[in-house]
Amino acid sequence: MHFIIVKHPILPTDLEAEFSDPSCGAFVSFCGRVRNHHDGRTVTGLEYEAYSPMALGIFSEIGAEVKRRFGVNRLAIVHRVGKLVIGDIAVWIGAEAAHRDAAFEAARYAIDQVKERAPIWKKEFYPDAEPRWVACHHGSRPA
Amino acid sequence: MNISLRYFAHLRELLGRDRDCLKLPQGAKPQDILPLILPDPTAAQKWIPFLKVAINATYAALDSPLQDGDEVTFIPPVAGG
Repeated sequence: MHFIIVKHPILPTDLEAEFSDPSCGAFVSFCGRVRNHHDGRTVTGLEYEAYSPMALGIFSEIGAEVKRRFGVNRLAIVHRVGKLVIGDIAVWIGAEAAHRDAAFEAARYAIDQVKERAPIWKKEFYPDAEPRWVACHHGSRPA
Repeated sequence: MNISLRYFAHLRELLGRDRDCLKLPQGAKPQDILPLILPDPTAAQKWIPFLKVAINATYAALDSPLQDGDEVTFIPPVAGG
């Protein structure tokens, strides 16, 4: 299990190198990248902020849940904070298991839970308007 | 009792600072803090439905009793990933 929050670019090849358990026939990774649009608006970049000690605790809880539910051998959650440009990787998840179903399900579960529970926020930047914080979970943002 | 507060994202910008220390009476709860920190009652009413709370980096209920030395964080709607 490998859970980190980083300020530097995420390099998937380096992370994948840590997944080499010979008892595992399946490795699935998910890469969340910065998109150039959201809700019909052009986006020029994002800024992520995290309450890191708590977010890492949540990643660790997700890791324990994934192990219990899907029996994966290894899970990594890596989230970047700070200013990101279009195409940058914001989050990377890797799951390794004996068989593919568990690896796919674990990766899907982990990213969904990160988005729902981790105290991480993102601010969107636009070419033609003031930046704003995006609300994805627990209701929408106050007006 | 002494309670430390951390603010992030929308709430940090609204308040113009990222932390506070408050002296509160025994038995105080996170929900008692919001009217003290938010700029006016209208802001409190507007924000309360959108905030979750963490005590010592763990999600907790707004009416959980606080202990001396606790760190309370109000969590605006999250958007990781």
